[in-house]
Amino acid sequence: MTRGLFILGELLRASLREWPRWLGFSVAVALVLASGSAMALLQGGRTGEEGGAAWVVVAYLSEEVSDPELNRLGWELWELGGVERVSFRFAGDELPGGGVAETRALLIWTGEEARALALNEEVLRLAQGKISDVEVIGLRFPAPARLPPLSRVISLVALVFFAFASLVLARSATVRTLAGWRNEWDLLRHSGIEPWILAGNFLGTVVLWGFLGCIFYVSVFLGLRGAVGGVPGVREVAPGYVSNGAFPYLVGFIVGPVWTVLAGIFSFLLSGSRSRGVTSEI
Amino acid sequence: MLGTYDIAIQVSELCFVTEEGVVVFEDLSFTLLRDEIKFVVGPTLSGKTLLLKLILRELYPTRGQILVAGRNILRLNSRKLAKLRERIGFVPYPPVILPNRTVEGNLRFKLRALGIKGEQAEEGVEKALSLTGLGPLKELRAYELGEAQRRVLAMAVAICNDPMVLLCDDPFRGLSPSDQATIMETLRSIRTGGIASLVTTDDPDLPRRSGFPDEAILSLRPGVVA
Repeated sequence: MTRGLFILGELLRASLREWPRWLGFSVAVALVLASGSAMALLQGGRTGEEGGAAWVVVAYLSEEVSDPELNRLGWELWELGGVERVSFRFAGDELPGGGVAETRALLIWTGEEARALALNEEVLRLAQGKISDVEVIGLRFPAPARLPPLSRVISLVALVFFAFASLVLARSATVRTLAGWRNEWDLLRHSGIEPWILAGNFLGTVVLWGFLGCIFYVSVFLGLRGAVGGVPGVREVAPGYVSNGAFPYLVGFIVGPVWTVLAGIFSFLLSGSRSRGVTSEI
Repeated sequence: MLGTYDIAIQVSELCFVTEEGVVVFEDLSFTLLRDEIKFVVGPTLSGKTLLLKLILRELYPTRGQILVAGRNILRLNSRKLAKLRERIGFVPYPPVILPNRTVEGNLRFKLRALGIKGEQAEEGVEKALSLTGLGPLKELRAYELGEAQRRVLAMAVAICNDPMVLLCDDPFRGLSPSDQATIMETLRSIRTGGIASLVTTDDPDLPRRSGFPDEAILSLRPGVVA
């Protein structure tokens, strides 16, 4: 264990001499995770929803209606055809679409204008003497915000680009670091230390630099969520970004390290024996 | 009668045939005692470096047996081989040192990498510096040393973890006679520390000129196509 930590420490120190490349690799890993997250979380494209409409019949109650009568009336109104739900407002409560209820009111919700107009008369007939006034309010809901379909294509392109960039940077940093550590590598190999121990420590170095990128990603994700998570538009275009608390940790601390391990293996295998040193001639 | 503890390396009936069919060794046998220096001499491609690689089990022989400290290295699993490997010091050609570290730093790097610390490490450093005569130079950076001193440093690195045997691949190559004498003196000094040495050279007269008897010389001939 001590031996492994010493070699890892020495390798990390050697990697600091190539810090711009390794930092580039860390940032590329963070961007891979960010573009992958964008692909997963952004609601892009057409949804088929044109927006919605609702009609509310507001029945203002007379002063003398008691609570039991109010309760019974509410259930009777709910049983009328086409009624989706019935709700209640105290005097002074806000009404749908703006305005304030002047007296207590029952709100009868339906989805069609014609049904709302018919209900207007039915309510007056059913609740004779208990209703002082009836009003019909039409509500229109805009279609939920969506990003253009191109946004997900861009996310995909970014994911591929940054994945490629992270591999290129990992390989470049690996080759440079190994070249600078070639004497140490050869000395340890000639001292009988098995190559898999050295390779394992090198992989550890790549993973630690990649993990730095994972921490960047999680920090920026959480920071941005704290800053813009309350914006309604953000909730509409990326509901998972706001609601899924585990997402950044899963991506940052599971997917990210897996990617860095793969990048490390890739870069190490492609670094070739030239940078790792070769044994002397036969 | 020699016991197992008196023998550092025993090679018996060693054969090595390359993939191209060149017979490099055929029934090569020799013994290296614990307090002995043996020179493997022969021209280029006679298999000097190959012999060292076979002893380090970096390559496998076609046939034969190699005992190091009484253990057949061809039958050891990788864990046991790694353990045994730590008892073999090896100086390749060209020798490997860490030029930007001090002489002492080179030794400590290897010892820390092998997990050797504390008193044992101090003893290892002291012994290696003492046997190689590098004590007065221990604060110098390796790149500040002359060529012969660098090779001596490589030998110090190889013996700092107190191995039983030192394998040196052509430590005299390209050196002036006086530098060669320095290396030879270092090998003699290392022997006084109880470390046997197996040293290759392509100069067949060098061991004799340095006063070694014929028994200390193992001559190899270039391989022949079978």
